[in-house]
Amino acid sequence: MTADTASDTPASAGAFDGQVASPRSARGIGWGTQLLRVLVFAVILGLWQLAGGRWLPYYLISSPSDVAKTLWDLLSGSSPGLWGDIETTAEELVIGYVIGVVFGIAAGVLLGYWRVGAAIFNPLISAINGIPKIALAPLFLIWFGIGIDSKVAIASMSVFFVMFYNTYMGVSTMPQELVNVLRVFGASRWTVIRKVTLPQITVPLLAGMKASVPFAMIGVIVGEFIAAERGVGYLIDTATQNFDSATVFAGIVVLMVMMIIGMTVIAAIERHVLRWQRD
Amino acid sequence: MERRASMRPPAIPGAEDEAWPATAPPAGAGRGVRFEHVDLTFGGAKRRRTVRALTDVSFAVGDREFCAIVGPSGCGKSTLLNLASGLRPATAGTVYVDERPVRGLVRDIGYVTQDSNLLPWLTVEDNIRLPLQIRGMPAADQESLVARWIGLVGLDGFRQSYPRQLSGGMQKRCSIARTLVYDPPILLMDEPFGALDAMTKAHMQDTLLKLWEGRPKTVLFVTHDLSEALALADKVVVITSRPGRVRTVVPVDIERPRDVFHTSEHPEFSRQHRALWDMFADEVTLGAKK
Repeated sequence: MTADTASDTPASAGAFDGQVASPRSARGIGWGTQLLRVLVFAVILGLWQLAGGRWLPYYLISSPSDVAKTLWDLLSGSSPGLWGDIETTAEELVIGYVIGVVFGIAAGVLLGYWRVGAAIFNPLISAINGIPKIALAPLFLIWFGIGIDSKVAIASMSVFFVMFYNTYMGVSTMPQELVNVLRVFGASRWTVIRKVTLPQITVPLLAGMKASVPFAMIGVIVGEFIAAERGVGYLIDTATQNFDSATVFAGIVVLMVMMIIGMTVIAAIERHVLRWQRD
Repeated sequence: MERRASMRPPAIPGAEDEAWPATAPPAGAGRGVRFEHVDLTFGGAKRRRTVRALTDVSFAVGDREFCAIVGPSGCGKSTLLNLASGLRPATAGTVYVDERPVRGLVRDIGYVTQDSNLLPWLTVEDNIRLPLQIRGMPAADQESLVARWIGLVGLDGFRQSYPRQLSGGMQKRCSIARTLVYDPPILLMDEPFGALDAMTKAHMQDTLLKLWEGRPKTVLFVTHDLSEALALADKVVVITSRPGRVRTVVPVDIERPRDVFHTSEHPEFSRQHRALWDMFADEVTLGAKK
């Protein structure tokens, strides 16, 4: 249907060459809606500002202006430490994420192809996956110490399982029809892998990579809550113990920004690799 | 109305001169397909339920003959094509392609499946290029062949489009171009136009017939549409409901070249259609009784 509509208007035919703007993208939303969005945000901030010290004790919720000031002091260096914390947390996140993704894909491909292995290991992997990963965090701290290794381990384990299941499902649900088409063309086994298996698997793979980002973040922050020497989670934890809610919220804002950056990078990769999925 | 017009593949004047390079070898002689006492049973020793799909199927399709295979749904028509291509081995009996028994995949066969089965991650032109790449054709030849076939099936404005951006009829045209581009002497088609609306279907049949008349191939065309079978084929093989047997083989005496849009007005068409339909209705009721 899309194609038919496009062929009516020659101008839009060029859209197929490059970016096709989805009608539901932010750009398509009217000015009124945009304005309301900003307004809702402003009202919430306003209520928060009013509530601190009036309706709720100040030490519980601080206020947006104080959070902004704290954030500014931390970022500009007037108060020491935040950039180091961000660096530590980012390092734990990236290393943990990459290790989890690589090993998850490797294990998924291995068991996806090796039927006997899948039959042997699947119950074990399901059992381990049934454990809430966070419950293992204290154990990982004992094993890997108070430094970044323990956080990397927790994050990579969370990511591993997401990636493993996505890859495994992707490999074991190969479209036999497409494989047959290539076989009739006379394709070798390697050509089939290159032309069908690999592109096919990118869909669940990228879905897994996107879903894993928050898991990596949770793993790292929980690890830092339990025991750490630096990191944004550690900053939040210490501030909480001092009833310094302005710093707690400042830390949360930093985590939000880090998440947004991570998700944006993965989404950009996904958009590029899966451009054939666009309408 | 404009929308309709854009769906329509263009007329193909002189398709026979353009479709393949002059240097391409002619479709080989003696490329027939023959089924001899073929049985097929699904479900092996380990599974409890076995299904007899085909039993004692024997018929032959001559070189460059257009043969339609009709039968009620689920009678194993499509399975016949899987046997002929070598994708599935027969339980008993033998399929001969080019007078050689089929063991494993048959080279030089083209198979247009029921679904278009385009690779969704490749553009229209890359999909059509794929079999040429696999066959190791020099890049320059690939380029000109692909361009020619995109033109022949009327997808000129959509070279860079991905399959999901195309309508069902366009996907079908792309899929047919992808199969004909490497000029296989034997063509298997499994209800290729089944999912299309009547207008698009008629135009696709017209395109196919013109291409075939320009360069005849041995065609096994599975369909459940009697009119389609009679409009296109030299002979019609009727398969019974499961387990599939050959009920009858009838020649279609309508002279060529044919005009698919008006074949139904031919007296021979109405005669054959009535005879086949009575037989067909028989099979459908038989199938329902079980």
